[in-house]
Amino acid sequence: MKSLDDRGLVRKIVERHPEALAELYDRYASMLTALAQRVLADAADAEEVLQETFLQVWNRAASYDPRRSSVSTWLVLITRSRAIDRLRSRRVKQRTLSAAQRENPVRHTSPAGGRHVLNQERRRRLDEEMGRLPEEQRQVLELAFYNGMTQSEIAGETGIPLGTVKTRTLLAMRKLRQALQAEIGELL
Amino acid sequence: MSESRGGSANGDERPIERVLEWLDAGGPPETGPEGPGERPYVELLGLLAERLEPVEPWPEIRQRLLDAVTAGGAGEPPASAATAREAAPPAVPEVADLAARSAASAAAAPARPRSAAGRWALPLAAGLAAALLGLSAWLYGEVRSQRLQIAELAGRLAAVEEESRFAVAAMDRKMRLLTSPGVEVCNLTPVGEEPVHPSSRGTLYVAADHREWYLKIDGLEPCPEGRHYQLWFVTGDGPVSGGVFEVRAGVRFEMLSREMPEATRAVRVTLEPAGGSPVPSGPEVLYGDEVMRIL
Repeated sequence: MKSLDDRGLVRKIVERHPEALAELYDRYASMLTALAQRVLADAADAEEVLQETFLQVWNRAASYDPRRSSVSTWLVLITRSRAIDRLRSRRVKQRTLSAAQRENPVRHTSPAGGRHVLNQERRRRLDEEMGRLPEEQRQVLELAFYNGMTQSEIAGETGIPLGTVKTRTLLAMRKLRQALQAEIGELL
Repeated sequence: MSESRGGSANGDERPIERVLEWLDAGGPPETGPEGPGERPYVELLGLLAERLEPVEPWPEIRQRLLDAVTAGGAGEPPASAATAREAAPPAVPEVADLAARSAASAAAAPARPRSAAGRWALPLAAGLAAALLGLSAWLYGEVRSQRLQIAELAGRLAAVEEESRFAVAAMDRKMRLLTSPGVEVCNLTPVGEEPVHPSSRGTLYVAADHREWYLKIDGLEPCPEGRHYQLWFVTGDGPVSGGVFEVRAGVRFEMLSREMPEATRAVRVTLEPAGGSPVPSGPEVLYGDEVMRIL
């Protein structure tokens, strides 16, 4: 299974090969756990979301559509969607922005463990490009993606007009797309 | 670009806006935007997750997940992480520990003549401990089994709900397009004297705005290994990819999108290397350029 690419693994999962699910888990579990923890700020909840994500992959791998996204992005979107459902259901979104910004989720990191698809170089590039964004653009993008806030919620929390929030997010997305063309190209 | 942008979005911004609207809705993958202009922004979202420092999940989760899918076949969910953590130090060892302590304490006691009660007290305590041990193990198994069943049912229910929502939304969108005024129809038929799939047929429905479209294809055989079908819109500037796809034997292929290049005058489907080609390079499977207006 290790020789298969991600889409090959998904095909094997459709054919009900648990070892393919194990390989996909080994490739992405640590990244998805980090995302779920970032959204939920809770390690136990994040691990529940991780399980739900891979169960959804096991049960619904046939619904994966390669025209919509790469496998890694598909996994990210499932994880984020499930984490946000959980977040919204427990109404954590009502916390204040300052509380959200103070969050520093507990991490039981073991950087040497697991097989991360992402290497340090790509993470460094992403950090660098995010760092180049103007602070106000980075803030709205992070609130939208990592905190699961809608554009209206961001406007409400920050006091910034909705139109400005949308424009800042849009500009951030456009700049990142241009800056990360090579990385995005690898996923298309 | 100024931040105080006003009025409607230009063409360059529309894909980003559609991705952001979808993100606002929680970003469920199955309902994500599917136009080629939006795809890079969807992938960008995937990259945002990769920016985070990886966090190793609790190792037990992997094994429980695999146990569940191996045992359940159709996808029996494992116990939740919280359940798993609770299960790690079950009540059983405590009982065993109690029995061990009791035995150790008895062994350590100074030797003295035992009364009749003393002679049977130790075996009785050991028997009780063994019974408690068995009862705890049985209860633990029962609770775990019921939790698994509840989690499985909840998971299946959520999956069915999600599939239903998606199917209804897609059906609604398709019906609105097919019954909209000015919808145009283009039939796709096999190409050449010896067509790749002679019995295949396709129909493309294009809304009056010439952007939203729905394509259905019947009769295509699954792609050979390492190959994908690729849809092309033929414009005055050449072919523009409409995406790659695979089909399952005997299953109609359907595609719904809001992206079509301007001045499209024909549609082609070719067989390309897996992942698609920048320009058509493989055998042409279907072609259509005659447009009829039906409503």
